[in-house]
Amino acid sequence: MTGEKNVPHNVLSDAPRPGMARQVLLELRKGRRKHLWLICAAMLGALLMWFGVQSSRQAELTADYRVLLYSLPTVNAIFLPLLSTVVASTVCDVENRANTWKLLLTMERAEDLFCAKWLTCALVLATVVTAEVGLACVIGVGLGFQPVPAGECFVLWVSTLSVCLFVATVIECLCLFIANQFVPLVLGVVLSFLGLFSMYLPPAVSALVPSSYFGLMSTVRMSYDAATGAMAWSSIAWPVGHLATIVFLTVTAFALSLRAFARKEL
Amino acid sequence: MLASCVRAELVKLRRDPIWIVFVALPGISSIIGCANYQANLGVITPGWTSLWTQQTLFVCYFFLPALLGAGCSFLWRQEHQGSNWNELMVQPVPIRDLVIAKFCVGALMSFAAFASILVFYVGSGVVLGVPGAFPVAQVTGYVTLGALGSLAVVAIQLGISMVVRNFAVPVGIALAGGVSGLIATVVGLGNVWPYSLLQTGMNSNELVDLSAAGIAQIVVLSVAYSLLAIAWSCRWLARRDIVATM
Repeated sequence: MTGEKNVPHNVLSDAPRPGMARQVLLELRKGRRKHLWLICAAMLGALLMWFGVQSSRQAELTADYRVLLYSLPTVNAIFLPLLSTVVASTVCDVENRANTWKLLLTMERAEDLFCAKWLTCALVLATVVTAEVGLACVIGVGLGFQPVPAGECFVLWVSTLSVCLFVATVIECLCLFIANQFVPLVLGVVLSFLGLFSMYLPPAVSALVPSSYFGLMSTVRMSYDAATGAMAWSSIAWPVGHLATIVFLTVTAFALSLRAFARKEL
Repeated sequence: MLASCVRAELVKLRRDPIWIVFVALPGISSIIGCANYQANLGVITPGWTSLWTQQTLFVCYFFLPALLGAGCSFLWRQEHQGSNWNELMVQPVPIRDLVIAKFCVGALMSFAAFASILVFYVGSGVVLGVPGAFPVAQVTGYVTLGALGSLAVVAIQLGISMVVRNFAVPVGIALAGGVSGLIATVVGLGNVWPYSLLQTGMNSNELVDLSAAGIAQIVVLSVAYSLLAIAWSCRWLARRDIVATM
């Protein structure tokens, strides 16, 4: 007898691994009839309706496109944390409901499954954010604002998507560890709630609230003159420090969640 | 039989953290509302009315509907798992009682949230030393009408959560419903649209006139929407074949 028999052997290590693209497609197929795209469209519709109503009032005062870049992150802070939560929960909960973890993890590596689910969330959120930024610009032009420069649109897209991905990463981790989806969903509601209030919080405090980064990464600041009641919008440099913070937090949350999920006892 | 069904629903919720959330979230709102009230004393008129606005404005528009949506999803999720749906459908009780029991527990969740709002409001007002007499009748009216309006949201969300076999989607629908309620209020349909009744009843930003006719409208429509949604849910359950797929 040799000692080789005592060495744990991972049966999946020798098995052929499907490509990540195929796994993401599989996750999307699992989400069929889960109404995910429909609810994304509905929440995006509500977001843009709110944004449109808010911007139409400002359109009477100025045609400066910076108004749009200031307004959109405030609306994002309310809607997008919950939308990111809904996406992550729907993608991950398929396995909880069907109780397929044991079956799945005998066929594919836990790391691959985690990454496939994360990439699926990222794909859906990237689509939603792209549509949101594009439609917001179209609404702005329709209301009589100047067109938003492409560079500013890109900055807004990156800022918005980075916060959504952070929220989705945290929620995915929760969904994979807690079968009770009430907990992740309530966290999403709380993040939306704090995002709304973040505009009233001091900057040092709001930096601790993930959903406040929608506003913190904005390239526009608004100043209000209480004596005259006049509002003025000005451009500022892209706060890349905040972007670096949220990217770092996302990478850390991803790495820790991946490690914990791979080691999780079924 | 209905009492047994309600007891069974409460047993299903034992040791779940769901009640804590319905009490804690209004607490967070209250703390932030207090901070906002204190920070803006130079701009707003100090008093109980301003404190009510600061503490409940955003809760009633967005977060209470979303929270109720999550609670209703949770109530139906247990039935959607495994073979529980089959077992639910063969229970020796009328379908009406099954639906009404869930509605009663959903209403309890809503009442817990309103009790929390009231306790935090009174407590924080006393701690902050808000000037003026406490408007007992006014606040009682707001809380009662808001709780009544929330029953319509609970009944509708229960129907949605029963049909949509996904936990998260009804919560998104509830948030969108809250926004639609705000828009309906702005365009003058605050006393008509089901998701507005909760907001109109709480009268957080005084956008609506709570006259006797307005109050009667909220009461009648809240009851009517609740009954309609419950009746629809009963009919759907009675007519649809058992679906026990994932």
